[in-house]
Amino acid sequence: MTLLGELALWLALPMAVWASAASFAGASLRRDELAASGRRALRVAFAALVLAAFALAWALVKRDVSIAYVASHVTGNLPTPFALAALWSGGAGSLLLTAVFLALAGVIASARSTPTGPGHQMRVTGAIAAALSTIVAVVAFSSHPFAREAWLPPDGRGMNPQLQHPAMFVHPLLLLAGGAITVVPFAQGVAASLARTPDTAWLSSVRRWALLAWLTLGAGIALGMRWAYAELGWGGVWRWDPVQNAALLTWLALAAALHASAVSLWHGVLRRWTSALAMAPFVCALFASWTARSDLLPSVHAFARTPDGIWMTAIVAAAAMLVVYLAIRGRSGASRGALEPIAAASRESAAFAGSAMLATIGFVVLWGTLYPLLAEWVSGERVTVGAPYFATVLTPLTALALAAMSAGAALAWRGGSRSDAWWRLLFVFAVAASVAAVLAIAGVRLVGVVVSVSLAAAVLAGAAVELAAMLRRHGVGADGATASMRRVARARAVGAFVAHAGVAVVVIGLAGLPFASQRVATLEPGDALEAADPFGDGWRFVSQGVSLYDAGNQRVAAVALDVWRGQRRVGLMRTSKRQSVDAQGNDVFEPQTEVAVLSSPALDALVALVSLERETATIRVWFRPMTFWIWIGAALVVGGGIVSLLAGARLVPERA
Amino acid sequence: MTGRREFLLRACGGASLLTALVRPVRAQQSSGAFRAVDSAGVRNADTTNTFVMNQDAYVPVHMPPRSGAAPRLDGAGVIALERRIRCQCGCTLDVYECRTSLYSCEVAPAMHRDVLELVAGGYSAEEIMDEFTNAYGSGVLMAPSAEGFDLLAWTAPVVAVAIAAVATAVEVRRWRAAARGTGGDA
Repeated sequence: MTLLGELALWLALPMAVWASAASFAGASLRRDELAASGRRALRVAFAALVLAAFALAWALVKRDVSIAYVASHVTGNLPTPFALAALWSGGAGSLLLTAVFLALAGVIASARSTPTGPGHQMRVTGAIAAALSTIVAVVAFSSHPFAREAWLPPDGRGMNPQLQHPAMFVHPLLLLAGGAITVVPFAQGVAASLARTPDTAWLSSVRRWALLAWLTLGAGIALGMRWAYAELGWGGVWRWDPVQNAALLTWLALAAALHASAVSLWHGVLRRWTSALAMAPFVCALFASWTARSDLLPSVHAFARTPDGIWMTAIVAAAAMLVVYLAIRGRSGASRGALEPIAAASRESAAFAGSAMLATIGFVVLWGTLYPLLAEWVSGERVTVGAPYFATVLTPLTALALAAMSAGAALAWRGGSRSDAWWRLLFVFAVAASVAAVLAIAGVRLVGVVVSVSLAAAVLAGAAVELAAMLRRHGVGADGATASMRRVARARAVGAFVAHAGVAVVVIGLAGLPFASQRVATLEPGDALEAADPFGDGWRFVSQGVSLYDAGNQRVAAVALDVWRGQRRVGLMRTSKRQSVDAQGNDVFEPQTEVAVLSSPALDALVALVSLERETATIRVWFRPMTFWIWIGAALVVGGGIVSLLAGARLVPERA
Repeated sequence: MTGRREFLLRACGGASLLTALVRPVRAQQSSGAFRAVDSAGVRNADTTNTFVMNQDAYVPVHMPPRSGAAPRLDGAGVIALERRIRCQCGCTLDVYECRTSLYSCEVAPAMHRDVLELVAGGYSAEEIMDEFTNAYGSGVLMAPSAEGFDLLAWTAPVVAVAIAAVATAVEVRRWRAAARGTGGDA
């Protein structure tokens, strides 16, 4: 099986190279049979990569520790689902899986017929296959997922216990898939730039793929935040780690591309900007892959120091230079005639401002991530660019973005036709002003919190007004409520307003972070930790004693706490320390603390076991207000993306 | 004679083979937890969310208490200060976050004690930050300082915003101008 996998990997490489060469040759020589051969080769490459990934998964599940990758990721007693998940817990495996996703996106994108003409389609296939070839080359020549151990170890080294969590089956896969999907907009931008095609038909396809990548990545990032929130030592919902930043950067670039396409798709403007933004996310995704594989930027998410890092450096640099070159050279934005009138105070200009702002925020995130390298290169001293920097720089930018979102909801498309726009503007900013006043009266003194929460309220008000107007326009007819809901869901930009509302809700949730508080106490069984939460409610956490037990590949010491809020018992919380052991019973990795979370809309209570001596447990309790809304908001953002994607079938511009 | 020689050779070969085999196994087992560290202290585990915890990274930061000094920071002030100081254990977290979440780290609690001592000694947040920077270097700050070359870290975003604002304004004006050119009423 291993041999088969390795052979499949080496088959995928020439197939991907041929797919690229034949597709480009087919496009420039106008020979359909060459392009068809390229498409078939891409399918073979995909099948071969699936086989290779399957072979590695097989070896992991069978615990074939003669393979170095298996030996360094599983133990004999690791539960089988996690042994399978080891396929993406390491550098080589995750890169192989990236190649599988890339190839799948390529197969789907090349099979779909688009209204853009066969030449464009062939170049898209060629560009995707070229990207695939480079990644497969790194896997085959550098990562060596099937390399053998020089000696047969008695057992593997095991999976980091922090990764043995249900989220391991979703979060990394969503991130890998989302990053891989960005290759399609990239390839379409490259194809359009190479052909200097003046028409915009390809943009609607770009929009769909960018949307798919954006919501996949968004869901992955949000899930990662939730995971890190409940995992001790991962620094809460966001720690500005380079690998996290790179994922966020990709998401921001996709969002910027979507906002630009909301204008360029309908009017003959911003094509070059949209085209550049369509290509940028894939470079960002490569950059994300690089941050995890290079030891230049210290990251807890990084894989081993592997030779892959050097390869990835070259690939990211080459891809970035290609995009910059194509964006400068690109003639795809040349058409200046046939413009429809667009007022300055229009939804288009707000969307464009949003696109520019998202790109700027993306630049700031990239700048902050890379600045330590620049500073070390110039002054020789390593500096840290962490949360205080990003909070200072991004809070005003986020406020600006929220203001643009609320203005965009108030203004009409093209600016002209709506008479109530100024009333709407007045309304949303009146909502902002009243929320700010309420917060100030309630004693909130953090200016950043007051400004961002009140602007988030304005965004919500704007989205509510717009959705109400849509309901009125597509109101309940004779065909019943379901049909009218469907009509509303298909209305232009309704998904965008849901997503904007989601962003606003996330901001409101994040605004609760500075108000977190924590207490620590050492408890005998029956002792209580008493603390007041930020809203002034009294809590009691009563120790029910310590229990010790074995759970699969872990030795567990757990403490149960009876939790009371005021006079009401709210439940039992259990926190534990877990020491992973290998099949021989040897300890592997550091002991890990499992946190208990009690969530409610206003407040989360978290409990962690700090240390343990016989029956005496030291417990730390956190109160985190409003965190609940981060996840609700993230779900709305992703939901808005799904609505847009489903409505996208109708996205061929109609002249309003 | 040859028999004995052959026997000795084989024994030597066997022994060296055994040691060659056993050594890596021992090396792996003796470390107990396969700390993701090789002998040079370099990360070598091909997996995420592990880092080399350097428990020796603590550097004492002491200053004599000011005479008749009262603490200038309350509990919230201490937390805000510790959020600006980076723990040196390798976690890349700040001192507050590390000491409240990574219970195996001995560096953050030690740095926390130094902070408390300096606060009790009547020093201000900025003085404490300066003293930590003197002891550890500028890598102990969670954000670049706003002086010298590091000023660039703070000004670049401002420049980017300005460029974006100008570019947006120019482009939107162009839409209106082009629309007027084709007879539209903008």
